[in-house]
Amino acid sequence: MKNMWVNTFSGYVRIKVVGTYPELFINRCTEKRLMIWDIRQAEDKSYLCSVLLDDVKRLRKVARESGCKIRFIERKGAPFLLKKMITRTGFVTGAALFIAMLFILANMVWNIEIDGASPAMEHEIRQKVDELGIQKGKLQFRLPPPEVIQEQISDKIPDATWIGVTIRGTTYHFQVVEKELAEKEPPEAPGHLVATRKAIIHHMFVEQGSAVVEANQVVQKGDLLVTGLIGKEGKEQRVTAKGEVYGEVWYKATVEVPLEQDFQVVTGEAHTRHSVKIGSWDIPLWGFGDHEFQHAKQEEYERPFSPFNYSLPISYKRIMNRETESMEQIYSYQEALTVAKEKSRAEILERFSDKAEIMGEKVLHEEERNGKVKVTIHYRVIDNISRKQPIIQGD
Amino acid sequence: MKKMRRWVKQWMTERMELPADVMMDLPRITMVGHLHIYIENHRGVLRFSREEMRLRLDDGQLLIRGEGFVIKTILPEEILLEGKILSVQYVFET
Repeated sequence: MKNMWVNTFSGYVRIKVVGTYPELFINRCTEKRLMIWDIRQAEDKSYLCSVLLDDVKRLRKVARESGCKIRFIERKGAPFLLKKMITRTGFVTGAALFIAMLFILANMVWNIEIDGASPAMEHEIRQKVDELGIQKGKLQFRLPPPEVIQEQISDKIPDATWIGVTIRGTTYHFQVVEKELAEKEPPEAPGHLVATRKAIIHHMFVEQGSAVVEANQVVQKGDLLVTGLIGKEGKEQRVTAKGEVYGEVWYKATVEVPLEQDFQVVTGEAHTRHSVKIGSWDIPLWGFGDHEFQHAKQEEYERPFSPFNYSLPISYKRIMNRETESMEQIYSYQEALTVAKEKSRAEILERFSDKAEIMGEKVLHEEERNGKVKVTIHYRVIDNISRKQPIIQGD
Repeated sequence: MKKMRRWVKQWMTERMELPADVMMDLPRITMVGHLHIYIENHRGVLRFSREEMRLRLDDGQLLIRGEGFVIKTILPEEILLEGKILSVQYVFET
């Protein structure tokens, strides 16, 4: 069976067939392969039916043969609509004008944006852009393409390192990177370097100032390491002491590691539920029913729906349930010991700066109690121990 | 002779399990609830009104009664009828 909707393109007519035996008309039509459909009884001896526009010419002969009279009731489909449109010129021209206006307005320059420029530079760019002919109300297709504009504007403004030109819809966007002269670092206040903690000096590197300590010397917290006063006694000059002083620091760490550990392991099975949230209402979209996992980890993800930067109380929500299995890990005593060492190493390094180095470690004490291994380790760490301290005036 | 041929065809359909509508040019009727009735292998419309439709078949008539009948499509050997179908009846010509 053919889809009748297609016939609206080629056009069809509704006709009324009146005769003494109108069934004969239907039979004749099918015999002659005339498309005829939607037949219903109108009155006692008359039918209403639809016939293709192309078959109308052949209709007369069929009607004569079957002794029926035909009256045309309605014309439907694209050809008739077209004819109507030609007679209603005003309407058609209005529609055409609307489309033309839309096209022209969409291709106009409505805005010129300049980003990343200082006010003075922005004013200059605005002037030059205006000279190039990029003004509000100009048609985009009459202006040079953005690559060409970029080249021209870059030539005209030598102070800018780079100017990027893009068209965003009806807006010309200029991204400016200004040339920046490297500024001199402000002179730092004169100062000393002092110790941040108790340590044994390992080695040092002094850039400015004079060292007052030596290697293998024990310093207490707050002790002077590098002085900012240089020159002859009585005629000292104040400078900013700069440098790095590395000291050996002793550190004691205690770590506990249980011999039996429970892990939650994701199996890979997941159940996802999508829903739309309006206000505090949850409307499920997909993924109904509850998950059948014994243990699951729930992940929630919510994204608000905000068209054109307006926030609406509508958001998309996804709930994912991942199946998990609890796994037990059992360490032997030796294994627990190595794990504890690794753990405390990582902890130690976190406490010191990036330049810290572990020189040596020594297990002081280890014991197993209540299913846990407790280890006390002594570390020798080398780290920068210097800190700046300004020289107080009048000292 | 004609009777003979018909007898042979009937015997063949029964014995060889061939589809009867193909072998014997019998009408094949498909109904969707009481809404649609689709008839293949008919031989023309004898009577059509809002409440009744008579179709000619090779060996008789098919009488369909109901309400608000509309012929949705009609082709030389097929017809799709819509409406409220109340009864479908086979009438044998004697």
